[in-house]
Amino acid sequence: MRGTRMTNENGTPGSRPPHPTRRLPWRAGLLRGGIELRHLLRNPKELSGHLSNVAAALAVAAFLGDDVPGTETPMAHLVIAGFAAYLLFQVGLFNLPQILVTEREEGALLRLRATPGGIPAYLVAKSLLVVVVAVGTLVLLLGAAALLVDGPLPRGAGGWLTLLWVTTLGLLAVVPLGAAIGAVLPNPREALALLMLPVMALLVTSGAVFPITSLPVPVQQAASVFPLKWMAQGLRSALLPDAARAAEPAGSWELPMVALVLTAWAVLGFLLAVPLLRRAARRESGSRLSARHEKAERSGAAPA
Amino acid sequence: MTSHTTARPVIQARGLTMSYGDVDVLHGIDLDIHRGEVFALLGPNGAGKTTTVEILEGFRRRSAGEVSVLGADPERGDDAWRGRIGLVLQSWRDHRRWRVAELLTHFATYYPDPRDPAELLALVGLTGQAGRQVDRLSGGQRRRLDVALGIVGRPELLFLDEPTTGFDPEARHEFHVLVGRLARDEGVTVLLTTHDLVEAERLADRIAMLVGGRIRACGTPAELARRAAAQAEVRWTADDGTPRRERTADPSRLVWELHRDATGPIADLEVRRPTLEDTYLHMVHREDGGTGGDVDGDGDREAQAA
Repeated sequence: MRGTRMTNENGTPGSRPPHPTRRLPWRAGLLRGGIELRHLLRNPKELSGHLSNVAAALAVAAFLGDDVPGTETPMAHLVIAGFAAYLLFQVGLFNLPQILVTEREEGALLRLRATPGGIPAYLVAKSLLVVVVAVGTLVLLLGAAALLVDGPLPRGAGGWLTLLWVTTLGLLAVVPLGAAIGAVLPNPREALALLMLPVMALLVTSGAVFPITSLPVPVQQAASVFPLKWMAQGLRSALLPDAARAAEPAGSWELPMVALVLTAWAVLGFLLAVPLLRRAARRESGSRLSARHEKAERSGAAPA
Repeated sequence: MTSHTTARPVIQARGLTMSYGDVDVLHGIDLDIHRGEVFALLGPNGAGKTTTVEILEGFRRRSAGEVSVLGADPERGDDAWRGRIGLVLQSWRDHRRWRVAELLTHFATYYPDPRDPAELLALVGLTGQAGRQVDRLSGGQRRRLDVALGIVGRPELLFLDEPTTGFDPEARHEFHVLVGRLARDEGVTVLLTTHDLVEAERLADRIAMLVGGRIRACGTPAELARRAAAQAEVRWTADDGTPRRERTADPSRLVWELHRDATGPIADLEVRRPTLEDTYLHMVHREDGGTGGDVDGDGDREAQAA
């Protein structure tokens, strides 16, 4: 890696023939994203993974009969809003890193690196996939909840607008971060273990599934650093009646703070993701790929 | 096959050196590979084949030396340069959920002038598997799909990394026919890495033997075989009953001298011309023994001078 190179470009000018027009990665990326979505829809196992979250949220909501303490809002609504936030969070910070690690290990990243415009197309495809899956499950959850368990829906244009921007900003906060995590995780087997615990811990501590005020203050403060709490709070403001803000820690929705924290995470995610993804792609080579496969086989994980 | 002197080589390396920390992996490799040539880089595992090829592919930064691949420094290869290179690795297991034709058609969209995916499937003998999911292919079919993906963009240069590992003899034969056709009919330059001497002899116009980070010999299979056979080994049993052996460039003279000095027939007399394989194994062995003399290292310079 280190060392000096004596020369770089060598001699004979004009030996490279002029290349025909370059294509934008958008087209290939969107095509790719479309194909990957089709594969997802045809894969019952993976599809049921996404749907089981929705089912779990509906089951919990159907069970809860109480109101959020100090308000007239059904507890079920708080849970639905919390799960909605968690769905976005999970797609960005759990599913996406796993996809990236798996595809890196299989060699998809290397193949695209060896293909002109392959890496940008890959990123476009993954963004499309993640956004469609996240928004798709969110719509499914809210729709099914509204139909089956009398779930919450935004009231008026303001509510819908809040739902839209919190969802958008929430995805921007978690997707680049998830990409950055996916770029550094060692392999798919360890990825699952490394991701599961923090994601679950945040689910419990972020006030997504029960009021955050029932948790000890230090836990509340710790959870406030991470985006899930703010995504859940933002979605509650969009989905629950205004009076429900009495149950919030600050007694209000703190929407400016929601925007601020999520934007900060989005910026941080982008700052991390760009160099880390670039590094991950640059480091890919055939021998690295073989070395990882050998390691996987030694550790007993079936590669096929 | 060394007659392409007018055109600039597709791959040119001078003094290519690679070290990881204090360990030197490549000690100044010189290479010239010309358009339309099938060039085999032969060597045991750990000889530096992979490192050499990954530097040429632009996936690894060299420590020193000059390298030009398709007229550019691989460390600075841009997308247009990438588009002129095809890659077939042995370790690819990607896109398992995709269908064969779907994958090939998709990868065609990245290139300005791709091959027709249907024709390409016919070329690699996968027409019958067009609708099959990639992870349902056999090992040989998977590799042929990798070849198809490697050439879908009409590359001028194709890297093949241990391409037939795990092939049955028939699949291997079909693969050799395909590579030969690409080079002959379409002028694709092929750089093949292998540790299989038979495959190198069968496929390559020229072979370079890379042992211990140095090119020990380079030339056409015939040249290498001739050079290998130049030192014949004469064996016989001496009068006192001890087995003797001697290496000589002129076995006929040695045998004549033996007969001249002998009183009768010579017991167990045998003249052996070493095969290319003997030479290769000898080189590999010598390297294992630790003596790193650059005895055959002038081979590549000979070939370049032609």
